[in-house]
Amino acid sequence: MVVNIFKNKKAQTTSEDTIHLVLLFLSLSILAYLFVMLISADSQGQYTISPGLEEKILVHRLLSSRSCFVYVDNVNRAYPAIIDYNRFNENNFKKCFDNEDNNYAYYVSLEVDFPEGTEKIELQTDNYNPVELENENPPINVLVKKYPREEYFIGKFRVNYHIVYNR
Amino acid sequence: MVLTAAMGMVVGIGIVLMFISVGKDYATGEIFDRLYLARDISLSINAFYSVPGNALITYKEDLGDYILKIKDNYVILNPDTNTEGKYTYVSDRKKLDYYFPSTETMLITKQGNELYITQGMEEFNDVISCLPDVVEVNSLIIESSNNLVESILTDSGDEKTIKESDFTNEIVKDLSSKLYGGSINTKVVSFSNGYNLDKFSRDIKNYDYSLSINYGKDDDFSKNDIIAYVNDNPNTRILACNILSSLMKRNIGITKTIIKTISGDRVSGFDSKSMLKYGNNIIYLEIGNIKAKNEINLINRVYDISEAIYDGIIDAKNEEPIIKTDRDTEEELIPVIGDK
Repeated sequence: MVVNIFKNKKAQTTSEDTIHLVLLFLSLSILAYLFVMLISADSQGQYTISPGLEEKILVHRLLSSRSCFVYVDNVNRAYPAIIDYNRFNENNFKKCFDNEDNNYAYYVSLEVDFPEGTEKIELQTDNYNPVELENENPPINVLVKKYPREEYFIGKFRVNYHIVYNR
Repeated sequence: MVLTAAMGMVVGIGIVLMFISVGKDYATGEIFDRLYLARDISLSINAFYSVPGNALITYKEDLGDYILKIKDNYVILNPDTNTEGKYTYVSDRKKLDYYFPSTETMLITKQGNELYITQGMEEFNDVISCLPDVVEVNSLIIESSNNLVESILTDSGDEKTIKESDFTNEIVKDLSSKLYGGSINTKVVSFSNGYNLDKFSRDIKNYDYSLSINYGKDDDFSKNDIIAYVNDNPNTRILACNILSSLMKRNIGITKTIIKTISGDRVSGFDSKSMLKYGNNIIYLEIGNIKAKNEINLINRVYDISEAIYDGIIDAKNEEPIIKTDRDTEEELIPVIGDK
């Protein structure tokens, strides 16, 4: 039995075979790359952070960092959990909380009962989408100072956040 | 045929190398290590931003031979490799930008609203306790009085010798040239030029501050400590603090910074009683052992020091006022409560 290995007597392959080989190598390269990416994606899950830790740290920043909303006195001491109502604005929020590329989106609100009436300010990061919010967190009571008043008021400070999936 | 085979071999080798690289990282656990460290550093940075005051931590995890890059809200270990460890943090208005080719001990410092990350430094004495207050520096005497005895600095690497008085004189000259023409009226004096204490005492009273720059007397060349002797005037301490803080921010091998309040004892070659007697706004700065690999680097280090001192003076002078509610906007500043 004679087995013809070559297509013709001159041992030449056809252009069709060349294309098949090129496609094969290309596929192998892509598969290898996908394999590496899969491993990287899988290994991300090998280290897990305690649930809620990262979000809690970031929420804590809103209530204690001097560059966010906390009240700062005349000798430049910052008072955690005392909010300066005049500093609770979009500008300050963007400056103290640049969450670009972060895993979470945030919504922050402060509601205060002043003698002249209740006032509420709501702030959120650009990527916040209320539809994606799974659980709404209860508000916490904070002290609020509003210049030029000397007295403190009780405010309801609320922070909601959700995971950002499409980074 | 040959071309196809060659192409196939190249692609095959590339694929095999990639598999080996990934497999090795996986087998040794490095891939997990980088991810863990990236997350840990990111969380540490996030936590540090929450601190309302000043703080300092030494990051204790072994960073080994990893390249660390902190930029644009990302912490990346061994960037631009197949198995980099990457995680995000939430930054402040000033984005961090650090690149450490090899990391040993990492120091994370928060001072006011600013976060600094440095490597290899063990101590940061006193500098982070600067009160961020405004210091009115309108006039300054700069003095270099270390030349009671000329001594020789030997560079520990290349056996180059430079007289220590040359160093401090260079620092003084460079510093005064930087301040010249600005808002601070400066005068340069030196005891070695016959400028006696009587003249000095008159000038001290007419100028806001006096800064005496001297070489350190530490015989241990492995150290490069900087000591600022001040009296108990709080503004003088703030100015000294800003100068030391500015020096620490530069990568010039400073091992320690200390602020000492003098009490009348002799301070190195300078009679500290004179400081107390002649004025209350004197900073006596001991620069420490300036070392570098070669003479050019040595000279550059001298200019780094003068520039850092200049920055420190300007920082102290331009510090933000005592109270503002929104510092970076055009809105009218809200005055101190109780002023009106």
